[in-house]
Amino acid sequence: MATFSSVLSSEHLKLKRTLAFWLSMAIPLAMVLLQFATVAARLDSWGLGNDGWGDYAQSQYIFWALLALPLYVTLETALVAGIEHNAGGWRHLYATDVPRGAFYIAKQALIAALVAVGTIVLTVGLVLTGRILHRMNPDLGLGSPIPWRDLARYTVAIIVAGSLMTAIATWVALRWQSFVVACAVGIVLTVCGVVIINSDWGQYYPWAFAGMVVSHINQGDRVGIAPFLANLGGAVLWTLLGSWNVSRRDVL
Amino acid sequence: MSCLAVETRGLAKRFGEVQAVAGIDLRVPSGAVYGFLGPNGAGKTTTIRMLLSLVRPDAGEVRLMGEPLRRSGSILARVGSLVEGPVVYPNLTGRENLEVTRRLLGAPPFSPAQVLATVELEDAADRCASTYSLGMKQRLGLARALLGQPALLLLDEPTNGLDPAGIREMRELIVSLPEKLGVTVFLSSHLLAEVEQVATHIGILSEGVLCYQGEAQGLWGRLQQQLVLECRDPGRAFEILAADGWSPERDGDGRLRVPVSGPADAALINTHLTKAGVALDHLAIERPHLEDLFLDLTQNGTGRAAQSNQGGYHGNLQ
Repeated sequence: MATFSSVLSSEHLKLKRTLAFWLSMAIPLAMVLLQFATVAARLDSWGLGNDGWGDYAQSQYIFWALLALPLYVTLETALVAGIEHNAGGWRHLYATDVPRGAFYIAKQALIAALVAVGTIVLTVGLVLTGRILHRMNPDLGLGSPIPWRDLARYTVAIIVAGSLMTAIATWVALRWQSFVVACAVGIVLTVCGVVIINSDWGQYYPWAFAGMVVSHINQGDRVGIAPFLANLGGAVLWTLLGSWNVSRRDVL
Repeated sequence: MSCLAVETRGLAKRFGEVQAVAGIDLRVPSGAVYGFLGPNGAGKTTTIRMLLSLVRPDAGEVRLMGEPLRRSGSILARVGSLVEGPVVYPNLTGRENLEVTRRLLGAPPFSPAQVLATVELEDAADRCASTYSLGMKQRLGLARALLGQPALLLLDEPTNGLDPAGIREMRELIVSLPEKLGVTVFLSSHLLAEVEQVATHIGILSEGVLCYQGEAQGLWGRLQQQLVLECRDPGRAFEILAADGWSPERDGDGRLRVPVSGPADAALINTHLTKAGVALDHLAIERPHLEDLFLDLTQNGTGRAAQSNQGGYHGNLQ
């Protein structure tokens, strides 16, 4: 019988030459270039001060975490799930001796990896564009050493904070065959997140949590451990329930 | 030890008001090519899905190679399948498609290269599967099913959508599998001519009920041959034959059809009519097609099938 790593390896291979794979680099790079273009267009008036890297990173990360990441997760989950839905692959996978839940968890892990890749690409992109901006205008405050530690903190926090959102989006995309359902649910919940982030309980809303975390880090506030634990615990629980729900269904 | 590759007892499945499969008892001997026939909507695909544990039966049990079937049970490692068209990831090459399955199976007995050779797809192995014809995709699906060197192969309408050349290729491939790989083939189809040419055993399903099950050869032996006669005076020929104890019937084209048991009867009738002064323009024995039996069973329902049992069809009529 296959081990989980062989299931994961099989799922990984299915990503080859897919839109989902290319978008994991294209979307974060597009977001970076958008912010870069915004700054480059206002080189003389852009408000980068002493903490140029901090301001530039924050502008990139807040946009990513609050708006782009939820949409990115929506798109990636729909595309990854679509690989199986479109090929009719479930009837092949479930007719093997591999426990059904292994496929769900492997796909969930793959999507989580794509979230990590996307966020890391964003970080690399912002470093490169920051360097370019410094060459374009040395007064922007981007000449200081790159704050790798802070950037790593943002990156890890966003990846972890997005876990429950990713788990729910994965379940929706795998549970319903329609690409439209996955996208519609993701877009509606993302739009709600933009509003909910300002409320008291926004920290418990999965689609706003990553944005809140970035905002707190930037303001030097500590993010409470409870929301993080709730997010991570929720992600684990949702993954297990989602796996159970999707796996027990008949393949018609 | 059981010598049945597939055995079901009272297997049943209902979807809402529709009884898709109504308590069937399949018995597929090891090494057989079992043709599972039925019109569209008869319940063939639902049955195959239950044999693969893709669909939970409402009642009954399934045993594969003597072992009871469970979801994701280890017995499924010995089963290959092609259900409702091939599973093809269009972004991957043929070889990569098989690699996906190879990784799932761990270290399968066959390599992707070996099964690609078996289904004669080596030349296109490194092309993206999105460029494959339907026939090539079917062969790729079959290669995927063979990768784990299954003891049992469940094929659901494997020639669906293929052109005549593709159908012939697939048929030759399926026929060769039991001898080449020692695999039992369970093949569903509504293309009766296809099954007729490959099956050693036959099961006929109609509205979820197994109307017939048994050896194909035995079924053939029981099918009545007919002598077809054309002459200038069919009325007189009819009277002569009827008076002589035969059971002639007129068909719509003015020909006479006489049930016979073989060429000896044909010779006898020919001599008799010639001596009586009836000159024959045409004389031929027609071997009935499986379609005739199939339509008879399915259109007349299980009551007719049960009646046929009394006539002595080989196998178990339900």
